[in-house]
Amino acid sequence: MSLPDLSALWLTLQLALITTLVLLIIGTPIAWWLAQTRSRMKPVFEAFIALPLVLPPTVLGFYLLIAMSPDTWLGGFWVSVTGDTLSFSFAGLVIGSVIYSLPFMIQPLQTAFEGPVKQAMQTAASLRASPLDAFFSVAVPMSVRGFITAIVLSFAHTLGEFGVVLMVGGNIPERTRTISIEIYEHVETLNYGDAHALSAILLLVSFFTLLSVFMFNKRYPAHVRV
Amino acid sequence: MSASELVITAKQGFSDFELDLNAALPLQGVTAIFGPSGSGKTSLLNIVAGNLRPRGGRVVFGDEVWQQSDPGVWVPPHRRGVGLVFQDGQLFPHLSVRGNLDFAAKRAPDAGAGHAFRDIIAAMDLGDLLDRNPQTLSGGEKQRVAIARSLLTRPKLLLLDEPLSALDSARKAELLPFLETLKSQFNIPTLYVSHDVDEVSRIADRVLMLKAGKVAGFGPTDDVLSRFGLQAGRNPYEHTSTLLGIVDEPSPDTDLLAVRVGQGQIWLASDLALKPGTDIQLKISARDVSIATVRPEQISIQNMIEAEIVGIEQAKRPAFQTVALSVYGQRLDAVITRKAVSDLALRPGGKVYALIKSATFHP
Repeated sequence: MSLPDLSALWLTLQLALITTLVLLIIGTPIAWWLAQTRSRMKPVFEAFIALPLVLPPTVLGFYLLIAMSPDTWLGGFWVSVTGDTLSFSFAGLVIGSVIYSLPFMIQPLQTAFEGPVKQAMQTAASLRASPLDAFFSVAVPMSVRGFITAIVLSFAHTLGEFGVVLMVGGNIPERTRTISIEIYEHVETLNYGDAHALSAILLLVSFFTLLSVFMFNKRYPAHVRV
Repeated sequence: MSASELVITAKQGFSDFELDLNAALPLQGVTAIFGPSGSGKTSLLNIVAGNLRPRGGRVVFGDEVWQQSDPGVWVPPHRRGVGLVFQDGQLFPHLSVRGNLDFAAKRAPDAGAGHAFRDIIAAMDLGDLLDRNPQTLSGGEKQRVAIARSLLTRPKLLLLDEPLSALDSARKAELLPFLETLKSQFNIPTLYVSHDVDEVSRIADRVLMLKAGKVAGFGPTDDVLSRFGLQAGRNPYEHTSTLLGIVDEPSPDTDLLAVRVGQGQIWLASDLALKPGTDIQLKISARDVSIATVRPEQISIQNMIEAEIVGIEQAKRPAFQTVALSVYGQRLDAVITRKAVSDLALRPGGKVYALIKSATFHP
């Protein structure tokens, strides 16, 4: 048995990495806002962000596909800037994955930012630290566990995504064909050998990613308030 | 307006009380903010620190306006130069003691002479603690680090929010001298929130008395305390014991509530008709407990209960001693004169009767 084509694996890892980075950048301020706000709209935002947890990926993918079509302002804008359609492109996959994995980034961070961090921010202000200074020198180091959990969950969740990718990206080799779709293809065509190999790779990557988090969390205990 | 005053005007309804403050405090020495819990002491500190922003409020520190509504002025907390020390110290858990102190020192303004790092470390006696992790410190040590950390930012004003309340009485006695050092050596205007008469009378130059969100009195410490019938050693809010009991069958002819504590019984005047069998917590001030070596007769105090002396120690005032009693395994403290202890020849292990003049209770 020859080694299966690994391009889908690389594409998937790229997608997961970029998605996680984007999520970290947009998810952190959203989680911070949710942890601090007293707005009555908070539950509305929380429910909206949690939607991907319960919605079938095909439903989410369907709406995204509609939103990305060149007839809409988003899809039209993308075509006018890049000359390419957003749907069935890698960029479209990133947008879909970001939305699909949003709760996995936001919820651990929001939990980390609530509680002791809030009071610590007041303490930092009384020590003449500006809010931005206090965020990076106090809130972030106090929330290391939350960040690690959020990053790993987002990464792992994107690795295994199927429905949204299929709807938004189609199944274009080296462009939008991720590993889970590739496995599906192999199974459909009764190519069990390659399906086995790719599945095993995904299984091992996922397991060791999670293992490293649990080992890290053990070594780096949560800050307990005494 | 004098240039050396802190002026606070604030009016705001909270869910449980209404704050209506109007005060001008001299920026000199220690001003105690005194009152029972829920009187608005901590809200006042938070308004001064900038953590609370009551609508229409006004805060002026000397000639700096920190908060004002028309024209609108708002100085954010980190630009006020206010050192705020919370009840539990609030040390940053991700930094060592040294890291916590450096955090403050790095952010201190360069201008103006401040006390040197090592003076502050020496004053708070932190030399041996610098490499420790905050989680391993005792309550008193945490507070000393927190105070030193505040001093290192060269604050224009120190706000201490019940710095002793999380400590037991032995730790309090340890920390009090440091607070006195703070006052004499560093001379930073300080607002000291407390509900402990002893602390206030030892440390404060003047007292702002709060009741239910309003200023009830302001003036030199002794004047205000005596006007409210408070004196050191007789603390209205502290040194109470808690006995757990069970409500007994009622006795209709007395209109009293009978509470069973171990094999003993205590009678309480109560308008509440509590069901027999209800668990009840009795709060008993140590001042309201007397001791007899034989069972007294012909006495108006109805509540007497068998007890055993487990310890005797000096109370805060020299004439008094605290006698720790065991009442069916529960701790009950009595504060009586040293003379009484020696006249009755009280000693640990002795069997006595505890006479309880009054008790409050919480079902």
